[in-house]
Amino acid sequence: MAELKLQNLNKIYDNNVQAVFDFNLDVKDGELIVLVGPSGCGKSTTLRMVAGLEDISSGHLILDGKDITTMPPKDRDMAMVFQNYALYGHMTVYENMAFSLNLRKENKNVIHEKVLAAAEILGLTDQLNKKPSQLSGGQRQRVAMGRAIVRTPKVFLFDEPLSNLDAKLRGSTRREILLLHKRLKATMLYVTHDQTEALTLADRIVCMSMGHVQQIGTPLELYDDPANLFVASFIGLPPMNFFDVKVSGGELICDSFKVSLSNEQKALLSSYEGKEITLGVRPEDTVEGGNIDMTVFSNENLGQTTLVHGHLSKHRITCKFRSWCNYKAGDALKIGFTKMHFFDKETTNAIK
Amino acid sequence: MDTATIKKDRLRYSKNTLSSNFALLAILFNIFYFVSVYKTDAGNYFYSFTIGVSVIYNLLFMLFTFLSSEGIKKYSLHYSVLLIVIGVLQIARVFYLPAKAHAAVITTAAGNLPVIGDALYTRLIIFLLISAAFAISGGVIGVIKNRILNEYTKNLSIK
Repeated sequence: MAELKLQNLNKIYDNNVQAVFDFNLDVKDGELIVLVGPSGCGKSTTLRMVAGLEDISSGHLILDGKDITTMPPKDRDMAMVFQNYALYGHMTVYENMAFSLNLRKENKNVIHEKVLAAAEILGLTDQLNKKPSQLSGGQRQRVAMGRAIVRTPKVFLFDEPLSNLDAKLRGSTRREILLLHKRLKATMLYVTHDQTEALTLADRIVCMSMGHVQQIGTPLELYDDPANLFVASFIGLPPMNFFDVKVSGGELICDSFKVSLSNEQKALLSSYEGKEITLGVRPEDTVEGGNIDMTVFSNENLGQTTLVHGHLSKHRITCKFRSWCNYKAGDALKIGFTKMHFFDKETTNAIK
Repeated sequence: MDTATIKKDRLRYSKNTLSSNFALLAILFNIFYFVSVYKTDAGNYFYSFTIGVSVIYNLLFMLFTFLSSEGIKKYSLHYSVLLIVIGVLQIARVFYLPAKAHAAVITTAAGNLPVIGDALYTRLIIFLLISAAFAISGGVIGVIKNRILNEYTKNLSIK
């Protein structure tokens, strides 16, 4: 049982720079929460505050009903896995994994059983006598996770654990973390700037920008129903296309195209009649055939899908078609939108 | 796994630090010995072939004991035996330099004086015996652990 509550957390550094603004989050027992956002958005700072590695300027951190805001890191019953593994090079895998328990002066036999069990889970049994320098990046990261597992902490904290791995290894290690989470059923906080990791791992995602929480929700909610322009642009690959359009007489009018609105959309945008809004269209929500003229300037075949980059008069657009296409630069193409997102131009919030 | 089996299984992943540390302590007490043995004001008694051999032996002792301290960490039987041999030689040394120097007398203007007095002689013997005890204990522990580990891994591979 490990429920974590972050209540109005703020981080203000000595030079008066505020890194985190009023962070609120309730993490349920066994939940995997991913903090995602671009570099400098405050996600690692938040994680470090939870770990106790950064002081909390104001707010409260509650673990299982107990206020641990000022508790020293060693007493918080949390284990952190770092991006750079933080393994001891002169120690074997076994010794690295047993290290924290040895420091706590636990019984050697108990330590042994815990290390073997963790090694079994992580597939490291054959590597226990090796030094970290003899292991691959993925194996080293697994050792770092093993070191966290043996402590059986209430909360696991991951600070961009896959960033040092190559793309292929990142994929396999990501799946291992997911399996680990299912097996341990532990409460986990995971920080990443990689939206693929966020979408594939998270029970819920916290999307952050400039120290502010932009949206908290399931991966599908963030993808399908972004709260604002930032979330819409950050989640999704390739990113969403945006156009400044005017709402006029049941249509969205832009320099390059006109789009008719459904009755539902008309009702939604009724208060914006005559005003400009931002239209967002995901590349995968575009289809070949429609009434919008597009001029192709590049075509990227990715196997199952094709990314077609082009212009709608003045605007650039990226389309993702579910077929193998062979467009050439300069080809004219008719496209349509299957789903559209609307954002208030002033507040950048989604129009709902 | 029961406690006894866990204890054996631990040997597969942990180093024999006890024997290794004993070997290092053997070196330490040998250092105490040789810095004491040469510091007497005994005229030119030590300017001899004997002392040359003694210096070289001390160097070799430290080299091989240190090698043993490293090798024994991995439960090496060879290094365990070597450490026991080194320990036995430390005991044998008691009857060479300290005993000979203690028996020798040097004539000075003040009269006949022993090269090594009783107090220093006792101290030298204690240092050598402690050094020997650590070396032999380290080696014996190494042999015992080596046997336990070998037997255990043999059983594991049979299973």
